[in-house]
Amino acid sequence: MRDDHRNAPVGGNPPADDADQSYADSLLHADDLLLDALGRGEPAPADDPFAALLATWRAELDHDQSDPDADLVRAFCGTSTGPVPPAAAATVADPVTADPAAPPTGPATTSTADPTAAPQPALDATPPSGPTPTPLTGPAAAPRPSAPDRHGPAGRGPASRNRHRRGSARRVGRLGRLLIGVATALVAVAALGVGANNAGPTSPLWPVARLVYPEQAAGRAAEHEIDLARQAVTDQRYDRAREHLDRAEAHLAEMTDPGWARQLGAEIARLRAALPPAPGQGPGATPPAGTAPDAPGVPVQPTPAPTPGRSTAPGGGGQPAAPTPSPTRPGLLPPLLPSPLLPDLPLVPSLLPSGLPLI
Amino acid sequence: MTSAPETDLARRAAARDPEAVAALLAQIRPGLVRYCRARLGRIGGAYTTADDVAQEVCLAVLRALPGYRDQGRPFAAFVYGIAAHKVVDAQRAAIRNAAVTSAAMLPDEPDGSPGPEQRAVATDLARRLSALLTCLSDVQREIVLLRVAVGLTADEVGTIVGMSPAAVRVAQSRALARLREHARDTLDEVAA
Repeated sequence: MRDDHRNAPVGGNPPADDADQSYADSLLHADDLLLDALGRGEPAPADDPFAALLATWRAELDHDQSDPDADLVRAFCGTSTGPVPPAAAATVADPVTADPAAPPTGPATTSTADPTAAPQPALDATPPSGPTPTPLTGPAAAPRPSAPDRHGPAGRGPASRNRHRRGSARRVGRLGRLLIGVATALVAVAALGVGANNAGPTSPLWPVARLVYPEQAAGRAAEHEIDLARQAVTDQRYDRAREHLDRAEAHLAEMTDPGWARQLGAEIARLRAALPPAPGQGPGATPPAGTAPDAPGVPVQPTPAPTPGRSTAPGGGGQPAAPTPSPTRPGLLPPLLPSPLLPDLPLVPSLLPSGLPLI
Repeated sequence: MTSAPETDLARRAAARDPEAVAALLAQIRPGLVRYCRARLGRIGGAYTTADDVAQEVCLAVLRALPGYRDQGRPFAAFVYGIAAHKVVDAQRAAIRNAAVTSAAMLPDEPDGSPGPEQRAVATDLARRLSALLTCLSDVQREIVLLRVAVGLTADEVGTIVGMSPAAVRVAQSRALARLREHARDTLDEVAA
């Protein structure tokens, strides 16, 4: 039957008369009916092998359809037919679902024990269609099974203040505390990291810095030795100064930052060059204020708080003695530094925030 | 799923009433499973991935129910809008993994599990039809899927693909004609 229809000249001429139009319409209608039937899962007409193919395909898609509807209901409602394994509930990432101790409930509006019943307004406030916070429901769900009593929150110390507000309020309370704890820990770690980042050998955070920032640790240690060397030069204890410079160079070898190492190396070289001659010829370490933006601002006195080696503000601004804007102090600066060594530095070695001239 | 759920059912399901949720799932889930299986095909010889995607769609639909109530869209469009997105995501993931091919791209992988002869024939036929579907345009293929695999009416399909019911009927007829033409070889082979 249907094949006969297919052989009819449908597409050749436009449906010029009602017969053709109604024929075309009848084809549409027949196909529509066929698809309706196939969509309902009905068998195909016996004389239509292609329809049989469609029906077989549809049946195959239906084959072995499991029936996890119960699981889905549990996953979404957190109740009904039995305890929910905490792991399964947590993987669903829905804060409502992690409730192993809730009894099966009928209508959701009943029991006080049902955490899903009460907090509807609160839950709806959090958009249910968005992804639920999986990382939070994990740890939040985990302690849930250990909660002694979900029906009466007697056993929940910190949550006792939420006693009269069940469900989501309690859940939010627990989650909120967890969040605060995590945030605090993160802030503490960050602060420690920042502090350790700038910690020199005299800082109480030095042990941390040495571990966490080994590259900077070497640089800071080198700077420290350079400070001590300068101090020794000031004290006219040149042997001590040489020792410090030697140690500084040892630290230099551990540094991974080539630019910083170059600067410190220049520093050491200047100090060394200054040693044998009379202390009158200082290594030109008295810097003009505020003109050496990149010079390592190393405090001479070991007592002040360690300033970051590369920050310029404390170093540049703390020179009351020589606020000259000129980039160099002629006569005090032997041209020790051939420019290839320090292409990125002006010919001024370092800044002395303390104001003490080196000589 | 042939009709929109009662407003009360949707409301109760949104409120996580287990009975309402179960009833709603009974309405939408079988069609969603067939839809995902049809579009994603067998992966590694099994429908596991497709079924997982269907589960995800069900959960997403449940979670989005309040939004549906507010917007008042046709329910089929609501559900299969979500389903289409999830399927596309799964297809992209499958392409990235480069381990599977979707039904839209290539025929299903052969079912490796041994089974009764009837099952093997049915699976083989299903595979052939999936291969046939590739001859259709995307819209035509979607219409056939929604009409046959899911079981939606032409009106409902129209709300999903954005066509009038009359246009859907024309498109589905054209799709059927095309499939019949390409299916001759398959049917001859099967008959032989």
